[in-house]
Amino acid sequence: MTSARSPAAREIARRLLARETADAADPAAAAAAAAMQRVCTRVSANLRRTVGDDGRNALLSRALKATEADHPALTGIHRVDNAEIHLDGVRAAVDALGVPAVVTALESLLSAVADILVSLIGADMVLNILDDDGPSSQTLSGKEQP
Amino acid sequence: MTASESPVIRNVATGVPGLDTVLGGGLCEYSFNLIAGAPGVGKTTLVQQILFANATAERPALYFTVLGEPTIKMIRYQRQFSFFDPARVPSAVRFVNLAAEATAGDLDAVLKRIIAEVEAAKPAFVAVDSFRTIVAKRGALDTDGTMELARFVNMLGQQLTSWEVTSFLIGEYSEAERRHPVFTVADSILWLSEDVDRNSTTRKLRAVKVRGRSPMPGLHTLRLTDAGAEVFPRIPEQQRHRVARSDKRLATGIPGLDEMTGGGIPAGDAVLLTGPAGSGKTTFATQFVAEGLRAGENCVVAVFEEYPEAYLARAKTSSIDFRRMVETGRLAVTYLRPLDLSVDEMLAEIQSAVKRLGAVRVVIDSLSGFEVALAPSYREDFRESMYRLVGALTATGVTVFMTSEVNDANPGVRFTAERVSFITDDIIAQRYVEIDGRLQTVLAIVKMRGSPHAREFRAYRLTPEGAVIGDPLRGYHGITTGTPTRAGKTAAGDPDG
Repeated sequence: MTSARSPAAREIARRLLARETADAADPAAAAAAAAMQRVCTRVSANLRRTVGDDGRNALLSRALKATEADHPALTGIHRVDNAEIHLDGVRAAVDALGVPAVVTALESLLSAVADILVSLIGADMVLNILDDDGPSSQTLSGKEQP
Repeated sequence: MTASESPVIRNVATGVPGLDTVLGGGLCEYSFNLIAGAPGVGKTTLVQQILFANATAERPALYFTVLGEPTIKMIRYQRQFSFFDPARVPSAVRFVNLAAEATAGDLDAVLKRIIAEVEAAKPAFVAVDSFRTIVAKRGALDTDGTMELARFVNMLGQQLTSWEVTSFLIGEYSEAERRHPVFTVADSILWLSEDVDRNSTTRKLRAVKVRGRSPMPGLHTLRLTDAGAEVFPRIPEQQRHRVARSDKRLATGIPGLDEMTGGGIPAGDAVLLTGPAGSGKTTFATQFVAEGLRAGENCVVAVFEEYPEAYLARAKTSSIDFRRMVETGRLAVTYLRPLDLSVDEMLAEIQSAVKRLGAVRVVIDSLSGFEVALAPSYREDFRESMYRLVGALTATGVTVFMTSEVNDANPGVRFTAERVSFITDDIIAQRYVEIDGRLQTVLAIVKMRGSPHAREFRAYRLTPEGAVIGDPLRGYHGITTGTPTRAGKTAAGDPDG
């Protein structure tokens, strides 16, 4: 994988973020951080449900490796706990680096994840899987962690 | 409870061509189905095809993956099949990974997660692929995990039934494990296997049990193509509902032969034309087809010894333009020449063409080529294969004209390949004889079931217009030896005059 993402992957990342951020009435940093955190939580949950913890960690790990050097904000966005990657540091990253840097970093990370999936299963399914709002035991019980 | 109070068991059509016929109509709604077999036989493909054929956003399917093949790779490969509709993932078919729970070896956690997902999604269909790996880590606690697995499957079955779900459990099992207690829980068991014989591989499917249905016994050919799985029932549906015979006779288009057969071939008969190489078997068969086309009857020709193009080019010499007949849907020329062909696939191909064209004449040219095209396991059972093939075709009312090569240079009184003659209604035997130092072709009607026919040998010629049969070959003894001797002054019957 190169740092140049496919147009399909970039579009998927843009749409994932736009769903939460485009209609945000509140331009404040806190609101933007909350919106981006929801994106991370949803993507993480959908990856976990579809490919399992190991699959999710493998995908996020590779995507982070490909993007973290260019986007220091990602270092704050994610943490590794017991070999599991969590994307739960959005608010802290926004506080430290500002909204634009985090938006760019997240778009790059999501684009990298999408790029891997696009090459494996095709672009037509990736957005549906990552952006799925369908019922799941985790989302209903509130157990899902980002 | 009276009959009127009995619950209606709705049918779930599988969407897998041929499978519903094997199952006795389809699967029962809310049934708990085991799909068992060795790795690589097509279990996952079969189940996903069923799910994509049935699941909707309103009645979705949950596909639980456990350990083994990564989900992403499974989706990557499965989406190559045309039944896999990416636009319906995950709205109609949702993949859920249970690796974390399974890896922990906590069966209760696995069950809890499955039920939680079912409660959340309220699916109409659930698949667990592969349920056996769920207990893999429990093996050390329970010798081989048998009781643990049985308990798990029993509880899962109870839960899914109460949620009114039609479910599929996929598991790797070998034939030796067929008496595993877990199999008693299932409402239906489909056993997939792979036969390897020399260089040939054929997949088979067996409906071991199907509660609430009357499944078709035996092993049925299973083939995976770009479209997904297709099952070729061993006993075609038509054989159960034979078309009543009529008194109609079909003209052969071979001058003189109709007279010998007492007015033509009885409609619905299976005719076998045997003869040595170069005796004109294909010419006779082609004339039989041409005559049918001329009479407005559509025809199907299955060729094995040449490509359809070559067949059509040669048949062009007939008074009927075969190519034009193909273009106008009057004639189908099927070509099946893989070396791992099953008789059921061959039958399905011919039956499909017969149905499409409304054909009344079918030519198989030749049985010798057909036998070579079959997978070795079917060649060993050629008699049984032909019995099923001919029985299924004639049950639909079509007349089947088959050619077969007799290899013996001097077969004596043996006129046919004994392996297949028993399945035929009528047998026409060709052979070479030496008369006055000339090699001549003669034929005789060996058998016509329930119909009077000529008993004498007749000489025949192959002309550019086709075969022409002469008068009875009288005045000779020992024709069956191949070197007859003249008994009288003249030898009538030479079509040369």
